[in-house]
Amino acid sequence: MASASHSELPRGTFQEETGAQVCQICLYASVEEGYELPLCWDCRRRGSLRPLPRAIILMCALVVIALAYAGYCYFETLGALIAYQEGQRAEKAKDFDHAVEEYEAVVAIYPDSPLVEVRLGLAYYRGGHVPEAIGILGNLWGMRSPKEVAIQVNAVFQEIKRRAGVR
Amino acid sequence: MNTLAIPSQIVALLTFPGVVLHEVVVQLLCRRLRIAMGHVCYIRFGSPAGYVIHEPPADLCQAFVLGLGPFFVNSILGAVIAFPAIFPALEFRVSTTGDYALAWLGVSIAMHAFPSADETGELWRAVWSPRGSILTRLFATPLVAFMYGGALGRLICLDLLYGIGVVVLGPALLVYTLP
Repeated sequence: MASASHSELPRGTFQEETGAQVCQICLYASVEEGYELPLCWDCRRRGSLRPLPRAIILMCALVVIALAYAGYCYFETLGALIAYQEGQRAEKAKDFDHAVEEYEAVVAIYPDSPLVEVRLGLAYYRGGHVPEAIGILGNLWGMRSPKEVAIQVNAVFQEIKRRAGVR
Repeated sequence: MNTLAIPSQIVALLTFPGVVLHEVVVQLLCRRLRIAMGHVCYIRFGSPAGYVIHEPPADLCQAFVLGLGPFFVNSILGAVIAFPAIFPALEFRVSTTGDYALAWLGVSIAMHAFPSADETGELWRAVWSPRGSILTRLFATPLVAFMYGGALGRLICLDLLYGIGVVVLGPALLVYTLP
């Protein structure tokens, strides 16, 4: 009786005859335990090491650059936050010169912030530096500022007018 | 259902960095956990917008890492990237073009944190398989249900709301808790 050689056997026959599992990719007769998909160690390693396309690597690099930029901005943001808090504390303690210093540090980081500019202008005004206060608050005059900013600027100018006797 | 799904596909294309990053994280986790992958689609016009076909995880731990890993990575990365853009806007009412770009990137990444319904289904099956203990089921079921809610909420753009919420929450907490 002629027996079929191993290479002539249809796929799966070895597994059916012996009961042993073979790798589904290379048919190697040793598979890793614990996995649902019967694969040998080498085929699983190759299957898990799929390379990332160049375009995707480039995109990930851009995300990493954005992350680095955000990290760089953190220092400025937190620095501004600390200076702003310190300025408010100094203002409450009526230490207006120190408040001006702190607010100027914040304005150096965020020169377009009307909220910080108004706080700086008010600190100048309350510290007795009226010309500087008028210079800063005058810049905010006519700009589209948040309502609370406009109210505070108007209040200061009303007070200056009242003191100067201007109607 | 299709009428509802079309806007979410357009939103997914407009926020492609998050879709791609989600799939990259799944792929890298598969690599780390030695899980064989069949095909990886990083971005496409369809639902889901991206996917990774891989073999089932070997154990519950692998299923958890693969199911929840991209959720945490995308959420944290989105919040971290957007923070320096959102915080000055809330506290100092100031924003630049760069800030808008960072905010868009942050929201894009955070909104694609949720796994797809198929991935969540896989996690659900792993939790409720005989391998899962009662304690695991007790802790994992609400989390997986939350993931399911997020995956299904994509149909009504809840993922976009989640993305915005994640990037705004940190800076808003900081602004409103500070004296």
